[in-house]
Amino acid sequence: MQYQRIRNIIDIEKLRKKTISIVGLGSLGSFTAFLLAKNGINLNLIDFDKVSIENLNSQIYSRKDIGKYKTKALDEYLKKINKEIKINITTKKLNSSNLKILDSDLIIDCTDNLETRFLIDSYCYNKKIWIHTAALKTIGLVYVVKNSLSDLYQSRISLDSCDEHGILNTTSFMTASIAATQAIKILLNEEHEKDLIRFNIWKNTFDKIKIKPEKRKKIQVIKLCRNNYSVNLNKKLDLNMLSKKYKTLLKNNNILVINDKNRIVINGNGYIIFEDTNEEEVKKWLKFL
Amino acid sequence: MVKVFIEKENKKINVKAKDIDEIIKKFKINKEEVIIVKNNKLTPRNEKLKDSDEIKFLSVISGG
Repeated sequence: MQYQRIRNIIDIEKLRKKTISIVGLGSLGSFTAFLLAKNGINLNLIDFDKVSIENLNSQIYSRKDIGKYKTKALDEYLKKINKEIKINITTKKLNSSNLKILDSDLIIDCTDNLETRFLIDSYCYNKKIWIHTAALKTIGLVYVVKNSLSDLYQSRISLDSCDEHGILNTTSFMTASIAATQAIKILLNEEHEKDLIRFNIWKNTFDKIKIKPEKRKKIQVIKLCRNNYSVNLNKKLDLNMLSKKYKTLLKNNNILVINDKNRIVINGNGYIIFEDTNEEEVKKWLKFL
Repeated sequence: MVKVFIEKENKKINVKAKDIDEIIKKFKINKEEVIIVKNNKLTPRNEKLKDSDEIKFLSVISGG
């Protein structure tokens, strides 16, 4: 009965068998989780942070949640609005050694930093599509990433993404609505949006931007925040060979995380994240690969 | 003339330019803070321009 009125719009029984991972449970993540829970989708919620008073205006939490972990507060809230869904929570920061916590039918990035986003990108590259979202003040964006996030952020990015930026709550809710709609379409194998959706809710502007996966002749090193670097070699790498040679922190058929001087996340299709290093070290590694 | 929108400054202008790099230099745009969109397509900064092209310099946003 709960879903009776939406059964003629979406295949609710199919959705109820699916699980979505939401990384980051701030403004975008908490509203996205709310919308997906209402549609009967099981959730894998990931965040390390606690609710604070500044969060109350732009996030789903209420005063009684202050001091609680966002995962726990959201879990309690969502169980009240839909007790039928399964919710798994991980109260940790996503990092290169715990990437397996992302495993689910679809990943939605609702984080506030490019470092974590590129980590998700390296995990999903050439394996599965995922949804990138971001917002600032009155601007929101949603991009279903089929190839790589580096198609969008082509150049070096100097933005200090860990700064705290304000987001108008209507911006977050609209971004969450678009992301949740795309997620539902992906889970139902319906045709999802290929372009980047970017809007300004204050100015009522809505752009759809075409992004063409670029085949670059020159290998591009993208500097992320906190001295992390992303590189795409566009070639198959022998993860078994590398895992024998270096201390392995995590390995599956697509991803290898090793510890050399620093952590390196290697996707078998040539996408690599170098953590906490410098461009010289990255270049030395690239010669070796 | 090329139609230019610089989001950060909310500036809309028509300029004469042969490529995007020329606009970046002229308006002192920090290329590390923007994505560049030409006629609704994401584009590299060395792209050539012709009259009636529309170029948007949109700020990289990262909040969540």
